Amino acid sequence: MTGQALAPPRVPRAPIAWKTVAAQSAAVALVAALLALVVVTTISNLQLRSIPTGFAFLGDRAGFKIADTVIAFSPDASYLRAIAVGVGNTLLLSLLVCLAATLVGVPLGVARLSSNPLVAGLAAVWVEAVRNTPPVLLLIFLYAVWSQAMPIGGAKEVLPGVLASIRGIAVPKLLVGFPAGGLALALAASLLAPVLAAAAARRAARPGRRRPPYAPAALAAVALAWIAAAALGGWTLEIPHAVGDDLVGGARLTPEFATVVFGLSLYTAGFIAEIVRSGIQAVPRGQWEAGRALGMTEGQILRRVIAPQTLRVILPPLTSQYINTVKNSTLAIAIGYSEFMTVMGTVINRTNQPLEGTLIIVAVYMAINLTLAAFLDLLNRRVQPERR
Amino acid sequence: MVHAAPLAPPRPPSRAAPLVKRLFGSPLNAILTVLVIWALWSAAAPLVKWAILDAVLLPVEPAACRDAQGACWSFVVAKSGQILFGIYPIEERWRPMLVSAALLILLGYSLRPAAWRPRLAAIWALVLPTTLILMFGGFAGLSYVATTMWGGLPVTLLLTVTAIGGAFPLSVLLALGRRSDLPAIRILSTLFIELTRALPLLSILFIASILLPLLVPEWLLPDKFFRAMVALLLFAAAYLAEVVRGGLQAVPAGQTEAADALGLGYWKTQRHVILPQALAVVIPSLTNTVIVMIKNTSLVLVVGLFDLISSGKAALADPEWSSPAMETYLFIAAIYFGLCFGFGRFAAALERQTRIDA
Amino acid sequence: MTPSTQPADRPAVELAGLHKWYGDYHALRGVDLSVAPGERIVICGPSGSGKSTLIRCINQLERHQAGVVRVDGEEASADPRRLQAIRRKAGMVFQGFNLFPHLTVLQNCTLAPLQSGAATAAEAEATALALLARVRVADQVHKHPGQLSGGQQQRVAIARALCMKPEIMLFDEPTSALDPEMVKEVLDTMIELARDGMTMLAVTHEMGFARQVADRVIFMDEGQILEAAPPEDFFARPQHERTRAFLGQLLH
Repeated sequence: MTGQALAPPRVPRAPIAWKTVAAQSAAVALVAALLALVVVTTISNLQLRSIPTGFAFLGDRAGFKIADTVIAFSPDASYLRAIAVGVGNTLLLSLLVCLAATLVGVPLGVARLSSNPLVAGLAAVWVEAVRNTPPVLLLIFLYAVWSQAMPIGGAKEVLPGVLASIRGIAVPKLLVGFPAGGLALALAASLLAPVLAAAAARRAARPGRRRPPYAPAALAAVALAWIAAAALGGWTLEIPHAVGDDLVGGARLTPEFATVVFGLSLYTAGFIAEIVRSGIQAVPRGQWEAGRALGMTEGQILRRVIAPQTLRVILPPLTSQYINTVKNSTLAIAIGYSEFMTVMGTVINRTNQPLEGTLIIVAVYMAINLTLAAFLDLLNRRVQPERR
Repeated sequence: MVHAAPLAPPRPPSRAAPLVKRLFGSPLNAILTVLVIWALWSAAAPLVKWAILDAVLLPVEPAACRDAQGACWSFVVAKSGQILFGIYPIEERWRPMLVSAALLILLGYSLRPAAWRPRLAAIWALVLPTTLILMFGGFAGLSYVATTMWGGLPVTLLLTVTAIGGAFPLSVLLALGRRSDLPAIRILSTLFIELTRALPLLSILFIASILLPLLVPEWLLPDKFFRAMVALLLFAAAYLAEVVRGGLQAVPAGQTEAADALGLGYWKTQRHVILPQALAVVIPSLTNTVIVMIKNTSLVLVVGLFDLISSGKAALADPEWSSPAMETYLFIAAIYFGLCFGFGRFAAALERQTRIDA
Repeated sequence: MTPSTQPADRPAVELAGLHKWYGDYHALRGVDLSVAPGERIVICGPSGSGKSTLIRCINQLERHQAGVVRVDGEEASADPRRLQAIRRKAGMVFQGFNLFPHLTVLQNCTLAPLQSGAATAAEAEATALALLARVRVADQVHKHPGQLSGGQQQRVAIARALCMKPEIMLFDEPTSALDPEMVKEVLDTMIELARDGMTMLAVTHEMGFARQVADRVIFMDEGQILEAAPPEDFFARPQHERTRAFLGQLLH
């Protein structure tokens, strides 16, 4: 019977540690007291200044205009709709900036490690400039440059088909007329193709072999579906032209929107470049040496050994940079773009209900944050290696 | 075998060759170099023309600017006092100057681990209120200057330093609380940190300025300036708490065990064993947070306070001059760059020295 | 693990007047060495003596500034194609394993042969599976390195180097980073490799291994080879004062 594993003995419950209970009760009591004080003061102040309470105001007529809208909005619409427009603007802005900044930031980060001193130096200047400048100053500066650089009473053609004037930027717009069933077909294809391709890939996978890449095939199928639908329905390209400094036709971007997207993208790209650079440098030198010892070229080593490991290292700081971008979108208030905070400012001003307004602000940002964080955490988990 | 004495290394090839080789060595590098030189030339040439060749520096009067083809630096020279110190009475400008210098020195001094003694807390507790009192005046022959007249560099530095100084002890408590075994404390700390970090700073400033008058009795927060300071302090506390928590996690578990084995209690262990190591590890993150807070104070322009940027905007509104916005903002950017970059370099040098001494 | 196929008259490795500086520090001070095909060399010496530098100069992970390095007749120069040819003839096993963490064990072994175009996918996989079976990790081939023990990882590293079908194998302190109970399994693998006739240069402190397998033991100090002799002579009758001091410390 010696050496056999036994079941653990029953241990009596540990005595209650009164000190820790007292400490926690004190902390909770303190917070509760503060909250009580705040609530009492608030109620008395509300009554004193006869401020209305409740969320009924959301249905009231808004009575103000918004320049940039993702969904249709007029001063006759409700406050709720105005807030929705604000949220939509914030999300659109953040998405565009994240995309542009990543596209520019990744090569910029690689450029910083280049052996060419001009390229590396230029990248370093960009990154250092951006790290030591407040972003709001950058936006205000770019906006000032815009007003001074634009010709008075006319428009400038910056790229073929792209016009810029003091009123904004206009790019050529593609108008597609989808035949009745065509749109439905294209949508169905877009949804089905990835699902089918993923299932097929999973079936084809065998242990040890990487899943055959299904993304390119699925993407090709989706693209074909859309092109076919568009070809059947006929399409036109609307090219903008200028009437004085007014821009007619095409897709129009207000100068505020263009400035914020451009400025924040430049700013965020610098930070993403730093993240990418430290990610590449974080891969142990031994990985390079092992690749060289096996006779691989530098390019092969970079692509097959270093880059995949870099991705794992940079994903966490990259995701928090994306979340930061959503927060930075509030800076647009400084040059008048109507993102969420700007709209809420106007709403609170007009309805005189700061309490409810604050709750809405907090709720919206918490919702955006939690969703984004959860999604990016999922991505992160898929990329990290399995541990023992 | 004879013991060979070390020889000097063979002479490396001439200095110039490596640079040329790196610029044009491979076909890719050659193309990139040509592209970059072309881009620099097309961008830099007009810039140099505007900023230096056609620019106007003297005489310092509005007429010179109106006729200028290039940059109007006379405006910057004329208005630099207003941009840097706001509408603070000109005769009393030595006070904000003194305050700014004192705050910068305080920041630099506090970053050295050698200075981390209880004495440091006393120094902060002494210097911060003194700077505020000096700015206010109203005693000993110093004229009283209300916060509405404060602006520019001293406002930026005051907000940064008081936010960080006040937030630091709070952040240590929050970080310890987040790692605590006591569930109530842990939940409260986590809630505060996560809620504050989820919100943009602008919204916190905004909420503070519109909500605090409602939530708190009038006498407690009379002033826009102090409302913004409270908002920045709470914001800094949440971010610093995460920085400190990172440092705490980096200290090996064996340290706590050794302290327990020696019979030190929780608070003594934290104070003498854990925190000194944790804080030393995160000095780079701490300086980064200081630089971020310096930049963050620029947001107070949205709630109506006069930092560097809004002072610049106010200066531009002068009807006598032609409103050279780009020159003004470039000047302000240079100040911010000097502050942030300088502080960053100082901290890096400090870190190198700490590593050598350790 | 095939025996060396070099012609018997050409040395596998030839070092002549090798000098290496790191900045102003003279790390290798005129090293001459000739290794015959199938010969097994163990290099030992105090830390800072230049042993790792020597090994790393052979496959040009470090570039030498003066002297000649020849691997199987191929002289090392700055020409990238020469470098690659040398690196394919010389396999290396590192102290820190340096396995690729994002690839499975099998993929670690097939990556380089596929990239160099030396084998088709089927051939590379067959070779890899055979070698992984020889080093006794056949049941781990689809796992990632992080899921294996240190000893298993180092054996995979040996198999990975062998998949390139090298003429010589270089070992840079292969067991120094391992827990004691795993040192034996790696040494046994190396002994098997030696018994099959592979030309080997190993930097190691494992003197038992040297006694069992080495044709010559080399002692280095301050960038020079001070002594080189077959193990019986080396351990029984060390000529140099410093060799004796070193052995005294080691065999305490």
